[in-house]
Amino acid sequence: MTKSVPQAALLAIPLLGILAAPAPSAAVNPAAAMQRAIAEAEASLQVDEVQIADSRYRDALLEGWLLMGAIEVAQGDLPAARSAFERAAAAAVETRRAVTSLALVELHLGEAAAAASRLRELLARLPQSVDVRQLLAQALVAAGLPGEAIQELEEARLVAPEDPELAFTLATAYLREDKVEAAAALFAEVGVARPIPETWVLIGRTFRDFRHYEHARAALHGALEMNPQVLRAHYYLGSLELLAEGRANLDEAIGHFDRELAVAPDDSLTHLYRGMALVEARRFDEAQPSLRRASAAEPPQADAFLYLGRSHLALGQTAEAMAALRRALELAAAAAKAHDRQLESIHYQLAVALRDSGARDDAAIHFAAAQSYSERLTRSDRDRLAQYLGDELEAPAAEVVLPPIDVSVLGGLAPPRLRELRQEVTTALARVYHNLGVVQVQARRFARAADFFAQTAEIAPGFPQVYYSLGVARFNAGQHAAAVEPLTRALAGTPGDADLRRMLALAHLNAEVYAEAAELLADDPERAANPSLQYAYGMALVRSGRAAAAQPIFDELVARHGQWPELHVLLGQAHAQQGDYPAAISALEQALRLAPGVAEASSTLGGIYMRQGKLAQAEEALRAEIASHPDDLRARYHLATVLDLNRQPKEATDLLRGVLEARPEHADARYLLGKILLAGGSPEEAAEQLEAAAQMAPEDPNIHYQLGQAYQRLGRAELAQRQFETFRELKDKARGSGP
Amino acid sequence: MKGRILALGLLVLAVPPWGELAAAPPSADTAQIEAAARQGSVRALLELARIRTNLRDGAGAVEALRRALELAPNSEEVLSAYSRLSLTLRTPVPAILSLEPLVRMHPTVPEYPYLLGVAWLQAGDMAAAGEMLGRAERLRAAVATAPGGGSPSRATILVALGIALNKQKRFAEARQALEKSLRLEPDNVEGLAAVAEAQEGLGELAAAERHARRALARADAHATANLVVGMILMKQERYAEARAALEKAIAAEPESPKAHYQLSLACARLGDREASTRHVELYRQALRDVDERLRALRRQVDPAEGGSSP
Repeated sequence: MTKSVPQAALLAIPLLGILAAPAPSAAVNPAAAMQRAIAEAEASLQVDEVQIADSRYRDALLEGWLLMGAIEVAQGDLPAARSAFERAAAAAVETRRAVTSLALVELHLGEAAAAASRLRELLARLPQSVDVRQLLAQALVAAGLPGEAIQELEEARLVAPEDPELAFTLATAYLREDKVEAAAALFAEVGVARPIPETWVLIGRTFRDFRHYEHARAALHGALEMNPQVLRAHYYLGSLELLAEGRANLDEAIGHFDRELAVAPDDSLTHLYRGMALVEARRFDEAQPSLRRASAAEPPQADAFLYLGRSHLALGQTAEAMAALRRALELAAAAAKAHDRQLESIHYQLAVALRDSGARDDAAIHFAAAQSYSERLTRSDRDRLAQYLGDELEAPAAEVVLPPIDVSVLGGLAPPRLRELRQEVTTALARVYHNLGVVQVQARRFARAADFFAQTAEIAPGFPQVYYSLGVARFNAGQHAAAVEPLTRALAGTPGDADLRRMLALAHLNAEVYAEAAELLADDPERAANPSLQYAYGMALVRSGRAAAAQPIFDELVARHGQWPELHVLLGQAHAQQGDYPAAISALEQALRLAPGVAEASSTLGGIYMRQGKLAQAEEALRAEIASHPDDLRARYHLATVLDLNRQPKEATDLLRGVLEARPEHADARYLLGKILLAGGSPEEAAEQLEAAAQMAPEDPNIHYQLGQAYQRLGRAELAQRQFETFRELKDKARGSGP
Repeated sequence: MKGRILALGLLVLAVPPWGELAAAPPSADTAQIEAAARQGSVRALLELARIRTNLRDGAGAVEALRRALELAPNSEEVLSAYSRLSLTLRTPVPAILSLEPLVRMHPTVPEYPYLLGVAWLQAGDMAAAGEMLGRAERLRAAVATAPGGGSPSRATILVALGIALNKQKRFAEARQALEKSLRLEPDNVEGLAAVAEAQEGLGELAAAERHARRALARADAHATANLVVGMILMKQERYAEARAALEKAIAAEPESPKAHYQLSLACARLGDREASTRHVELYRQALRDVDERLRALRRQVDPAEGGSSP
């Protein structure tokens, strides 16, 4: 069975390549690498080296997002850190630091499998990287795959057979899998490679953590032979005596703690264990100085107060005992991982202290609490401390303790400075995205520019003119609908900007939101002098159903620009909208005389003929439009309608599929396709199309009727019935007789 | 779309052009460009690479771009130029290594997963190619506007995707992609031939033959179209005609294992044992070659087997 991962052993695993390796100057200024990259980019732009600038800006993004991730880690916001590291990983060609940081964050977020997968991918790129492989091994352990972890570490050893840290990690992994002899052999190699007493202390501690006490004792004595003053050797030997033998060796343990304190008199942990051992040995007076020292240490530990309380209680100092035990309870309750034995003990001792002070009711409460914990435990007074320490060491059993995420690049900045730095980095990143956008604009790649400006807006919505830049880029990229929102925001900031207002109007117009376009253009001061604008305004009026209002505008335009074919097209559309087909046809034919291929003239004629029932003429006109403008989806849709009426379903179907390819949300095309398929004996596919159409246009009764028919053909009577009911409801509603 | 046409054995796919100049610059200008390149100007190195490409000096162009990459390793223009030149020179490994970061750094641009898919097709990894081309197709479909300069059309991407799926014998998915491409570009020869292959794989022989013959009407030496026709004729037991079609397929694509295998069968049916044995051997050799090439490519592309960055 796999052993748990003792905390101490994991802490011994060397910190791997995490986050930005801090350059010497970065210790002074964490943002130095990012700032340097920005400066180089801007210098390159000065000499027209756009490619170098692009590359350096990308470096700046990498460094900036790495730094941002570190800041988020320092502020305890791991999801935000993950997001920052994800952006870092997509910033530049180099991915190593970002991906390892990302994997570490995922490990801390409990997403070990995702971290392992990410690290495997990175390792495929960097097979020689021992650090990455070691981190992968840790992720695999955390993911519950210790066997695979060993495999990775053994492979890493092939790459770096001389690396003592790797050998140590592998030996620890062997211990986890109970391969003690293999571990011992590797530890021996580590001892040879690093022949200092501290190495053997570390090895001794690791053996102790995995409960191989004889190996631990030998290693720790070996360390003391090399240097009797070596730190922590006696401390671990003392804890070993407690763990291995229980109460019988309390005196031996106390002796080790005393010797440890002789070389490290301020070590609070040794004071704590010494005090605990002395309490268990009932040497309460002697215990108190050490326990006072331990309870004054930061961060405060519940155990120090518990044992201090016990010593006070034993010495009849009830008030002091109660104070210490209440503090112990407070700390244990706040701790993430208080264990039952500790809580039982605190409650019990506090109950005794309360009872002794006469507070019997309060005492009863704590006795009951102690009892509830006690029932979960198999109590044995003889080796209570050993069990107690065993619990301490077993605490991480349920969760693997992970290597910390290194934020040393921040140089221990205080929270206010961290917040300032976060703001600085955000501003710098926003500037980089903005400048990358400007570079794209200069290359006339507006869609790409818009992507960068959108990132600027996302991370720094207050960045100067960001919505203006984003809106203009999207407009120029032909993304008119998407341009509306940023242009609207930009206009809200500068309501007097006539050019911006005009661009917003045109964005609405191109996005086929005609009423808004007309409203914005209505008061445009340049409209009277600018025929294009006047034309746009007229079009907006016509297409928002205000053809009558457009009439004087067209009259004036025709008077001045009679040779302008598009104008006649629009005029024809205005007439058609008002039902004046002869005038419409006349205007459209004039447009075609002026420019035979002018857009929308033939398709508008086709629409008029269709409404007049002249299907052959409609077909001819619509085909002419498609010949001149193959991308005209409206003409294709109308031609499909005509072909359907003319009983040519095959071509109509092909046309509609093409329309839906380009505009999957075209509900009318989907409806017509469904109807044709149903008539052609394909009710299943028809139902699919009609279901999609019904989702897009739920208020269209005809779709529900056809869908009902399709369900009926498929034998789905209940569904069919429901559709027919919806059809009737919508029809009633349209007639005004609905509820 | 216009672009350099890249022969990939059986596959002929369009790669957006790179390096074309309207006319070679005067030699004095070239000297100036070379001087600027020596001084570390990436702009000049790109220009120099273009000049060398125009002069059919592939190695010189690659060298200039490598230097540009050293100076501006994250530059989109440099990475893109390097990858496209590598594809043109049929060196998929450096193409893949420079396209992978482009796909990651510019996730909304369909051109890069398309080119990476083409690179994987060149390298022979059809699954990787299919994945990338699928991504390119999704991105392309999401872009409402027509592609800009150098960007592949949706039909082009769908054809490449269909070819990759055919190579994995995922014929139904391939047919779906290819039918879509033909709705967009009904006369695309590659699309017609590939849809014929998919339909043949699905047993839709009449439709397969119709499409293959339409492709052959436009390009009578087309390898895939001839292969499909050959296989259909075999099923119709018209062995002599099948042999002729398969020989055409092999003439256009000498390393096609499938064509050699089918031809060996046709020869056997016609009683030509010697030719049959020869083509069985060529079929085996072709399989070994593909396998070896893939392994060699994997070693180069996948650093786990010893590869490196561009």
